[in-house]
Amino acid sequence: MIEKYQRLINELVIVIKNSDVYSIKKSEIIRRTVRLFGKGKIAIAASKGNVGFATIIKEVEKNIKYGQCYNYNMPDNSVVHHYFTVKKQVSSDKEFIKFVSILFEKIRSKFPDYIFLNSIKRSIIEKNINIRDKSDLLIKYHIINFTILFKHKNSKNIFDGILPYIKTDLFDVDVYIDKIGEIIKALNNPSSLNKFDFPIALMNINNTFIGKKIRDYIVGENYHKGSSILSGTQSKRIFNENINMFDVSYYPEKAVFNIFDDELFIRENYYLPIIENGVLRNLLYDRRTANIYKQDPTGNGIKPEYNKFPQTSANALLFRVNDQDEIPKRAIVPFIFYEGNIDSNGIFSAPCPLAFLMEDGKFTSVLPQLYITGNIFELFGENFIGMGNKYFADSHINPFIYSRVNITKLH
Amino acid sequence: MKSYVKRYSGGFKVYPINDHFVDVRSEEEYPTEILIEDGEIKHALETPSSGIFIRILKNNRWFMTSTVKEQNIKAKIRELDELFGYSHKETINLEELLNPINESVIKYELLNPSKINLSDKIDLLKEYESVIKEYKEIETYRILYNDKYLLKRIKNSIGTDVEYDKAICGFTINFRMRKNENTFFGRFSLGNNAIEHLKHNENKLIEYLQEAKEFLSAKPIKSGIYRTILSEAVAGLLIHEALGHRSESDFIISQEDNTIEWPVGKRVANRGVNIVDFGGMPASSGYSPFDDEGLLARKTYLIKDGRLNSRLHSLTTASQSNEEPTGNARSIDAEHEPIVRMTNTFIESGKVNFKDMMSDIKEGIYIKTVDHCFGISTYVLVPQMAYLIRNGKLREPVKISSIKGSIFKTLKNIEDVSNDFKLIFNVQDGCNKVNQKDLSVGFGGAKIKIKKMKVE
Repeated sequence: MIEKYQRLINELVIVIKNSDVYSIKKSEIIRRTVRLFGKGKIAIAASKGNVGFATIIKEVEKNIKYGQCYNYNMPDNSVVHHYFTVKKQVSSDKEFIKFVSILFEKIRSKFPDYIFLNSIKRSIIEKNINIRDKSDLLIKYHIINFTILFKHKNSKNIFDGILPYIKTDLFDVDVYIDKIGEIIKALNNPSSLNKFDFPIALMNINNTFIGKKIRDYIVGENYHKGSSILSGTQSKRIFNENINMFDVSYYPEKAVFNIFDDELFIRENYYLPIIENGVLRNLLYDRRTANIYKQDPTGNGIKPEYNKFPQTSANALLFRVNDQDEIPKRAIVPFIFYEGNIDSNGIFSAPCPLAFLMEDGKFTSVLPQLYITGNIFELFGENFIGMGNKYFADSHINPFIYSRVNITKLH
Repeated sequence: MKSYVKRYSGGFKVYPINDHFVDVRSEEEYPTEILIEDGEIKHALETPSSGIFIRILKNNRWFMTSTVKEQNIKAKIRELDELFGYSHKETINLEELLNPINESVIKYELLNPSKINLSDKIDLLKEYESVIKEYKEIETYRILYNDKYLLKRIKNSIGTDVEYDKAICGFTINFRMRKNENTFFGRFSLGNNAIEHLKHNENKLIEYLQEAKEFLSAKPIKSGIYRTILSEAVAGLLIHEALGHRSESDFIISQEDNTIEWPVGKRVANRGVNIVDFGGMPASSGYSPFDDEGLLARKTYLIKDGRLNSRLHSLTTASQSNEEPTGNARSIDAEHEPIVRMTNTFIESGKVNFKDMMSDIKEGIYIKTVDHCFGISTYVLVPQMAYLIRNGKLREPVKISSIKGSIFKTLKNIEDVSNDFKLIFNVQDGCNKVNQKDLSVGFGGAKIKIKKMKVE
């Protein structure tokens, strides 16, 4: 059996430097991979660009002896054809470049003392997986990443602020500019606090190092091999009883598009419950690990890169609460919180180079660089307060999540 | 080499278009990756590819695209020229910075790892795997092997035509060791230009594993301030993360910033501290004899005799800063544009040997290996293997959860630089910057002794 995988990414990247368009890059690259299933093994071969499937198939046949062993079912004999096109119309290159140029004209005029930089990327992605006479799945969608960095022209930092912003189409520029304005206003108001006895409000937990680690911990193989801090806790209460957590595979309004995984698995329920009422219910499996651990695959077989085998990878985590305490009026929002360490007991520590004090849902002042420590089980356990109803950006899947940790100045 | 990847003839001509500067970079790469986990080959694949990256500089803006076909180059250049673009306010003047170079540095064809069979590479890894299997304490392991042969050619409309090749290969073994309730996560790596040099080094792995066993009974150290010696690998990684990225000029935006951020001549460390970036070192993972704009690699002192000396530049940042280009414009592949990146970044050797460095330390730490290091300017270092130094000698292994600090304070506290030199040949862990991940770089140099570091 031969599985053909093709991913076409059509990209327009506009690099912003000194608050203006610095460069424009267009690219369209096809990536192709073939997996050959035979004699209890799967072999893989891949290439990008100019090499067609016929050539790659010849190569994969040579690699079968080094293939990965498999003992599970791929899609059965029923023929499945699904074509998902999330949105038909996208802006043309010229429209998009014009939109960006006008946006930054407004930004320069509104914030003349600040310098903006980063790459704005519009991607049109088409993924197709085909097993002849069995399955043919295709999805086409687009994403625009408008994350921008900025700093005061006299600042000594590499950047002072960041606005993460991912959309699926062009958007209202005034909303974008208002968000930048909110952050800049807070940057212009450094806090004089020396003690940080406030709750923490995690903004877009999926992008924090905590969210990334949780996504690893709920991978079935990690759990069973003992390398997850959740190992041995399935069916046990690990978090506050009010917490529910889902793995979401398809949520187009929030730019989540794994409607089928890279093993042709289409989930019946896009929202897979992982934690229910604080109890760890389900873990994630691709077809191979589902077979090993005698579970059902969960549609989480994702290629880390086009030329690799699918492996279990969480999608986006969505949190919901049953009941909660009153949301505090003041909280510390770790704005840059991407890197940190968690030990085998769940104790974490991380620098937070940028944090804001949030009062009544608005950033009011910038805090000094912080050092945040705590325990994952306490963060979502006895210290958990609740979830707000405010989202920092409407592309975020989760609103602010409030809890208590230890916060000190970094140095 | 894999015949199904079309080799480029390199015969394409590059001319200015409407007086705009044009450069074209063709790349062919032949990477292999093999992953073995707990006795099972997870994958063994070769994924050759080729591509051409094209840029034009029009009205002080770069317009870029890529293609896979040489015959498309002319049409792609015309397409770029037709893209919308009014003039950018900041001038980029390349003529003053560029002299045409014509050179070919092809020296690794005989070492090309893609000519070696997959089965031979797997056999090599299995030799090391058999050592791992002898250790009952190892609960789980992962062996990741990578190699790559790369051919690049860069031409521009000023007349430059350069080409070079590069071969790298290496593997990393990650494992978890356990004794009762104590665990240790270890990592052993070997890298070189030639696969031959990866063979017959099982004794190094055995030595490492024996040392790792000692850490199963390591006790946590009391938090506080310690005199610390960092090994070549740890010092190199710290410098790369906390100083090197800060030296990349595209992080620093305007001329004003340059004066505030990087006033050349400012003393930031003691005399005798020299930190260099240089891509011209053969047999290194950051080897890049020409950058991706066709400039010759240059030995750039970031810090010279304790004073800030230079930033790292591409043509654009050099033009905008009125400084000399340094040959640091690199990209990860033919789909991406060159941006300012490091090559091999290291601390030049000093005068003191390791034994003498320790001799006056009553109670201190030697950090031999690190799990990870993150942060720019303000950093957090998570040690993996560390030893107590007591009364001038290395003592027992200790556990340290993290060390945090500011790079400029740390530089000021460098007391000694060792007289040895080791450049880490880094195959698996490349450098990440914005959306260009896993660029091959090298780091290391000498050991450094620091007056005080804060242990958490």
